[in-house]
Amino acid sequence: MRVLWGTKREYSDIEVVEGLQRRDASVEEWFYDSSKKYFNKCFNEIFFDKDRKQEVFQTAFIKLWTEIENKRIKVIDGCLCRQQRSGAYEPMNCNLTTFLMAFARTEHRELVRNVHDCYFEEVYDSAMHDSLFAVDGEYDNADELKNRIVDECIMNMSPSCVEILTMFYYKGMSLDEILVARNENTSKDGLKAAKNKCMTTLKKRVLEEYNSCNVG
Amino acid sequence: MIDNENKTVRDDDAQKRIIERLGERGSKMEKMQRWERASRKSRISLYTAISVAASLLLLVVINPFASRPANAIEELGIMQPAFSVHRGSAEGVAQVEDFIDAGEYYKALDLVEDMLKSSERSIKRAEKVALYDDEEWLYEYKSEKLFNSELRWTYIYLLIVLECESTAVKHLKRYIGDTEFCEHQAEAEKLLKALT
Repeated sequence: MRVLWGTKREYSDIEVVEGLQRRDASVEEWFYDSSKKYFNKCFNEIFFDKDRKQEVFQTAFIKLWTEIENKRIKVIDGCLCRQQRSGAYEPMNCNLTTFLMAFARTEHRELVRNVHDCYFEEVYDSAMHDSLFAVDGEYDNADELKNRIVDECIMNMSPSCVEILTMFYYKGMSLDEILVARNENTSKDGLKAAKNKCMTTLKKRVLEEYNSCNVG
Repeated sequence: MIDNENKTVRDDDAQKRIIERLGERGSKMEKMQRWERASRKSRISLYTAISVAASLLLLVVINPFASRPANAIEELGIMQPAFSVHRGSAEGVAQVEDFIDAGEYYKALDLVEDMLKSSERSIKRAEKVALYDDEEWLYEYKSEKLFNSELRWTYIYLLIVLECESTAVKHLKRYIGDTEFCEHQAEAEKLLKALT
């Protein structure tokens, strides 16, 4: 442990994984700060603007954070392991920041391909449409697996859909408020249709995954 | 019928879980925004602290220099040059004095430089046909030498005011070297010492 600025401490990857899994707020904040610094240092020149850069970072960070919280990355016998498609855990041969950068690279590629614009129709990237989970995996419990499935499905959904669904279902905003917040030239009916389609498609995808994993 | 009920239950369960996980994701986003704000705040505090420290440092380090006299002329309390009465009527002299009074030192410097060159040419011309036993020639020659010396002193004054100190040193040496017409010898020596 190294003391920085008197009170802040540094955490190893193992401590980060354990801290995020027990939802330790100080570990979460430290990991965000240190990841951002690393990202800014290593992934700086290719961005068109600051907002896009922030978007790529935050999406990649949430992905990594969710992976850790959902125990797809966990500590086994003092060693950092990642779950493979087969369901088995294998020791990781890279650190968490490398993972973050890999996620950021994918995210950036998506951004360049411009799939982030408002294509309500394109709920999923076709390349991602294979089953995300292995059926022979050893999962701690069905509930946890369902969470992972839903998280993965959300992560692979278009950002527009995620935003609309989050605003409507989580933040409890009305369609009018969403229209104003998103500042888009869409009618209220158009937004309503998009929201319904996003939810239906997401639900369909989640249920498909449940089936293929024999849960639910 | 049972199949349909099961399907509805599964649908509802999936939707409930989707909303719950969207909420989880939303709360992560909110946390990140909070951290961003906190980090911006601490960055601003840091920059403010650095600015305050830098200002204090400037105050401590620069202030003694700021209160120091701007140049050697002020430091030594040397008066603004004045031309002799009979030479005061020479062409350009009044204009030089006006420029200096108005603080237009560059204009004064240009004018003095031209006058100095012209005076030096006159002296050289006079020296070519030196008539040391001719009173009139001698009077004119000495007047020109005195005027030249006054012009050089003014030139030195302006150079120092305009911070062209190396040129001022060169002219100070010439000024002091011409001992017969060096009216401000003591001041010139002090200036030279202060500048070198």
